[in-house]
Amino acid sequence: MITIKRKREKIFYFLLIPSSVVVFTFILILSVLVYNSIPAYEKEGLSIYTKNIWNPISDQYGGLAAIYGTIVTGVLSVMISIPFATALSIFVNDISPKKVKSFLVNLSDLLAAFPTVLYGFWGLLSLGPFLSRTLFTFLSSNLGLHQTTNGPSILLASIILAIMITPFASSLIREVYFQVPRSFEEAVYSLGLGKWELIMLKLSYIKKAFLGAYALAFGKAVGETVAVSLTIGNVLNISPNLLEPGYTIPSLIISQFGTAYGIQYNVMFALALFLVVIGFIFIIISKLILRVRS
Amino acid sequence: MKGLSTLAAVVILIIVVIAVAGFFFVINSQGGHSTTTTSTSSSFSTSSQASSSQTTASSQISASIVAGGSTFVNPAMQVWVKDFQSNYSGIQVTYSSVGSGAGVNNFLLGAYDIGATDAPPPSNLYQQLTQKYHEVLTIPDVVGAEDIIYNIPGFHGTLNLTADVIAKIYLGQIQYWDDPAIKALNPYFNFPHQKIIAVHRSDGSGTTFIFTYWLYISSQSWRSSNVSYGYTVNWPVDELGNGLGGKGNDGVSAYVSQNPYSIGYVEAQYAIANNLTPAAVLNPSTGEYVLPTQASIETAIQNANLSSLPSSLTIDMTPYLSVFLNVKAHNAYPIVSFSWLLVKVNYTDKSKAEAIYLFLKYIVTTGQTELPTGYLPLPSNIQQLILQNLKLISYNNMPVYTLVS
Repeated sequence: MITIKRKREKIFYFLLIPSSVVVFTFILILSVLVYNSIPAYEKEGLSIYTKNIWNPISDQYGGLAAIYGTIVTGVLSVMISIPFATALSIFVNDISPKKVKSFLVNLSDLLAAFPTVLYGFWGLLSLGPFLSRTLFTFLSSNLGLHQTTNGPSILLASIILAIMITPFASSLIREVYFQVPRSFEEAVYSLGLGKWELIMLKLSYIKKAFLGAYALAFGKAVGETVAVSLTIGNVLNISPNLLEPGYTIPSLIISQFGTAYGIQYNVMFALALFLVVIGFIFIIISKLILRVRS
Repeated sequence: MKGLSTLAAVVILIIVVIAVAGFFFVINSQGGHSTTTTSTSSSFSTSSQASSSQTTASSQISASIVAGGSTFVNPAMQVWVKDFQSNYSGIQVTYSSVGSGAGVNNFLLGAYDIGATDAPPPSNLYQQLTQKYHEVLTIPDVVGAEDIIYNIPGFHGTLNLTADVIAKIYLGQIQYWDDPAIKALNPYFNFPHQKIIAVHRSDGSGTTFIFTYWLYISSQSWRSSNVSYGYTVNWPVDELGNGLGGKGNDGVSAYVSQNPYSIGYVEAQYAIANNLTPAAVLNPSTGEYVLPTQASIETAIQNANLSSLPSSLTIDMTPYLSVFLNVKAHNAYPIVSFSWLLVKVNYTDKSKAEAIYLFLKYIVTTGQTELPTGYLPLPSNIQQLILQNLKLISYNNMPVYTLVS
């Protein structure tokens, strides 16, 4: 008995290593971010979050345009992605034949694993010009939004992000949807309801997990770097017109980090910290929602 | 089980302590951002050691040089590195093409021995460099030019532009191609009423520095706006939604070729490589519209007033940026400049000092005859000036040129 217990203890210590690495990494990253942000707060104050300027010559920095772009592309991409990811989850679980299901599931997992730079170049070179001729032209002639570029814009970046997070969100929703108990389905059918009603009831049954999945997808979207940088246009522009180019925090960091010196370097960290806070809030929200469900 | 969880808590506590220690280690190892650590402390160490060492046969020097920066100079640098290493097998040179701003920054942080940049570091950055390294050489390595590229569907012939029109486009004061100011320069084309998309660099870049510096000295409108010049500037056109920022010269060329009715600026090399049509730019010194060609860039170099350059290159070179800009000569292209290398003067590692001296000497002499097509060599009097300055490179304040030549 004692030897078995010792063995278990050994395994326990062994398991401590990977889990403590997570703690270690988190503390290290967060403390580097906070430490490097402090000079920026001291010099520029909170104007790094409230002003729109990026001027290394006069040493004035404000990432409001990037914050605006990050939140708008994040929210918009989730909104675009919801109907597609939901429809895909319902289709593979309830409607498609088994063979089609495994094909679709594998394909969507493959899409989720694609390098993001591929989405970026595809968006820049092919989807952008295509949408510019079709959807963007339609929007500009019907809604009066002025279209300037041949693609690169906040809307294009959001659409690219939506395409990227759909397989991810769909895989989360698909699994929860699949776990709805068989007895629930039987109960629905025994009431004489059809497939449509069943799908609607199942969706309302999993609606909290659904929200959690989207909170995670949002976190993924706001953190995306390369694909957004290639499709958003990288300019400090705050405009309600989504057909104009803009910036996001990750694309600002990837553009400017290599060349930042002095206080600019610290401002980058302060913006990165803001990104961590946004991501953190959404993970907490999603966890809370998932906890309430169980 | 209680003992077990106490142990677990202890282990986690130890890990947290290690994390905090690691954090301070990281902070200390990146000195130079918030706390400037000087590296001149060892300047006074034994000079007897230096005098006792014998002249090393050049081919036996074993050292590694880490260099990086400018994307413009990269193709030439790759040729130089290969050629140089075939003569000095013991010297390992690596060059990373990461962009001028990153080149200067990594040089400041101590990650690079040689920082390559298309524009000398701005005065405030140069001060930081001299604070850290005491003396820094800023030496030219090749001559480059900048093209103004554009994409106007249906336009044939040559687009004429002046610095003031280009400045007003990037300031957002000229927003449409059929603006009277553009029509006046190009009366033979019926421009459409289309918005001008002004493409610029999104990363810090020497190309942006030269471009904005040229606008600054050539256009009253640019001077009166307070955009000024630098690796990164705050582009007024962006706030109107008509700007686009591309990463690197290739990012800018991609955006210009992808977006009809756009305009941008790139290194001449990239315009040639990507088949982009350059505009003819007004040289305010002569009143001529000049296209960037091998001949017009050479004319600018040959007629530049080189006597205005200082004899010592260990000073802030920003004021001398304009030597090749707007050169007064028939058919001289107005936006021509040097690309530069930044190196420390004094080293505490003897073989590194020797290796750097040899590599730089190679670049300004043999290297200038090994340039890939499209690059223009340094004028011979500039080569002489640099060779004189390279003699300053020393190990513990002892010049190394006598040891290796």
